[in-house]
Amino acid sequence: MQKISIYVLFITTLFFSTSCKKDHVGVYDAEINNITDNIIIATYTELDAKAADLLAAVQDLRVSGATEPELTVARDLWRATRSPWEASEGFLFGPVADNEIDPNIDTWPLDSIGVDAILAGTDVISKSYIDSLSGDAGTGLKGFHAIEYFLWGSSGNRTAASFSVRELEYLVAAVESLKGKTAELKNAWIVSGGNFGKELKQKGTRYPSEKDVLVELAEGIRGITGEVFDTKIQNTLDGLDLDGVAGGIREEESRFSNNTKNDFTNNIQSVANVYLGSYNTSGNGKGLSDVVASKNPTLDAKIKLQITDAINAIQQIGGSIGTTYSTALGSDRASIEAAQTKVSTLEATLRTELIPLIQNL
Amino acid sequence: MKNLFYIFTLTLLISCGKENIKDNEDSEEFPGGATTYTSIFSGSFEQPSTNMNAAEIARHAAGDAGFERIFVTSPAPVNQGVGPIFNHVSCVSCHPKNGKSVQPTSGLDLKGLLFRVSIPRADESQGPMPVPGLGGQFQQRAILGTTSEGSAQISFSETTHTFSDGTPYALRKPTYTLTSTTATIPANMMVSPRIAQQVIGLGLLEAISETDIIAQQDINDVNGDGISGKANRVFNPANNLFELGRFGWKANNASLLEQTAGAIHQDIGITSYIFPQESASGQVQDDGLTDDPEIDSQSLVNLAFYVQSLAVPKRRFFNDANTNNGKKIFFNIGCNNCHTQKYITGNSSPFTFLNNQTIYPYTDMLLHDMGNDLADGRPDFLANGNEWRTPPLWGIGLSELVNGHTSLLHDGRARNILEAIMWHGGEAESQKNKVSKLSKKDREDLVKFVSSL
Repeated sequence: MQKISIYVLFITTLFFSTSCKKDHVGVYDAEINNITDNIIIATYTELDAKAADLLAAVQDLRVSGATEPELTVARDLWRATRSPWEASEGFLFGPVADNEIDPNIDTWPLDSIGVDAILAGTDVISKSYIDSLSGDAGTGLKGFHAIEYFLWGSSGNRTAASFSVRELEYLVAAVESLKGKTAELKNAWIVSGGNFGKELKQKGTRYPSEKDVLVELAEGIRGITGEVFDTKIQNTLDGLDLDGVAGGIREEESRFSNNTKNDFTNNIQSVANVYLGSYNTSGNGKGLSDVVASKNPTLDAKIKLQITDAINAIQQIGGSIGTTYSTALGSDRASIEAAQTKVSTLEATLRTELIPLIQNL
Repeated sequence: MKNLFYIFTLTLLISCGKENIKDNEDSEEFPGGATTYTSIFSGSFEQPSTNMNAAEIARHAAGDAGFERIFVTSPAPVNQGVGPIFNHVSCVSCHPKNGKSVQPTSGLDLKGLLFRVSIPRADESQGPMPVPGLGGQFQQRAILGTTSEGSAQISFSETTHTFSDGTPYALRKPTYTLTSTTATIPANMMVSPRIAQQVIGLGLLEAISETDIIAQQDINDVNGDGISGKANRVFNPANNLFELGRFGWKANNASLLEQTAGAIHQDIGITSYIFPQESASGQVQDDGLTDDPEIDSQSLVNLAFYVQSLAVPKRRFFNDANTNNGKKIFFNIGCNNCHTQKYITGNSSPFTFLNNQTIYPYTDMLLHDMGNDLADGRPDFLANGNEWRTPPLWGIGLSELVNGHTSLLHDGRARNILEAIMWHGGEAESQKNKVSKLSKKDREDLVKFVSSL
């Protein structure tokens, strides 16, 4: 009997020693490693690769005169580069913020008066010239929206023949600058570069425990979900159209390219990627879903369903996938409000159920 | 033998549990009272107070959009009106993720650092006298086609020191040189470098009753503790009254509405009903446009409300043994003589969620002489050239997480919390000397406590 008691005490001791170190052993190492390598770094790697393709395409436009097929290729590659960027907004922490990458590549709105002043001037427009515009901050003179402006024009219908030599010079330099920043972002995360991924995988001063990492990831997807419904969509509902009356097109971010629905879809896709632990063909399926499913399978199913609902509702803005956001703003605001509600419902679930679950792990 | 196992087990059980230190009130884990946001992450400074109603949350979101708006050259379909001269293009440009700006290392990119400039006047209590051709703030940027007010150069000199236990440390002092091609810089121009601060919990600081702040004044050091403490009284252009100064590095702003209007005016070049004339008015850079005010009054009020309603994050490492030891040292040394731990906010804020909150900001909101090494030499209303307002300490330990750096003090010169402590002089000279004499363990615990706030 005494031997049994001592045995029980051994077990008890062992149990408490283990539970003491819960924060350091890494119960969720698999999820954190997968999200870091196969979602976050994979997204940034894709972004940088697509930016390289876009650069090649605009260089083609510049060499020996722009043609319509070349312009179409460049436009498609702008969208293809834009997708991983928008799909990275579920994790806007670390180098993208600390190194001011975001304002350098995604400042909105475009400062078209400033762009026109540069075009009218005589400065040589090079990558270093674009990089240096207003220090590290950018004033809407560069990044995705300046490139979008050149590729589509402010009415979305420009022709290849309409490009001036100086516009092509600006366009190429703007894409070179963008490519420089996407490389900087990827390199800041990878092991052979700044290795920011280590901050998530190994506990340090930023994230002393793995719970801190999981809170960052969960708050990241909650944050973008909130921004889509309460800022991005709401601003267009509150805003004015180009004639200064209610309509909201002025507040639509990717208006020139009619890419707004894709932007929002990819924002919620980034939520799905982190939650489900996969990104395109990358990832082993270990995401926040794993953490939730083991504690509350009902909540896990609810979050998955609400993510799908939100993406579907955004796609159906205007009644069909092909209808643009601009058109819907004029003719079918109810469909925008319906999508907003779906996104808002998801945000409420993440805020009131997912975050507390993670906090109480 | 069996007893040994019992003891071993018991020890592990105790060391696993939270230690309950009696002098730690549970409410201090939630330094913003009922506004406190409970997740600690990179977005901890961007969260709305958690005790607002739906209308307040919606208004906060509207203000949030304003805080992130990038302003562009007029005319434009949205967000027009930047400049003609400016420091930056949006609120978040200088307050990234609502946090602090990093100390710039070169004058080519000042990030969130700006320079207030003035020339002496007989009665400084009337406020700083603008510099002809430059105004009250140096704007190093301009819209294309306009020449900015000039540029800045920064150089550093590093001095080395040692703690009593022999551990060395270094302090890095910046020197700034301003040059202008559009104005003649007067020889007697005074320059105050100021870096963008984090913007959390400001509504709560605005809701502290004036009586509670004034009661801490000891202008003539009657109690003989070497610490005076003086409230600033500043002109508030939002209502044309002289009022208690609460915000800004020298407590040079009375209210958050005025502070916000002043920031978008001087920093971004956006006119409002409070500041209806361009910051370049009367200078060669004046745009001559009649598009003022460039922000409507509702958007301005929403912007101020956003700042007023940002939550304070929950504390980290609360009730950790090292933190608690550091806290004892903090109080034994007398850091709390200026970094006042606790208030209960008043009950007269129009935003009722800010009223009657028990808060732990660690500031007395008063001006103190911080010594010659930190002095800017530029009076600002009642603040003399050696005085700075005690900054609140809440959120101080989250800088690395939020902004990826740990710069502190009025121009970001301190590279971490310990350096910031060792920069203290003047009224805090004796506290600094006590820190210098601490053992390594106690020094680290003190830093751990401060970074837990």
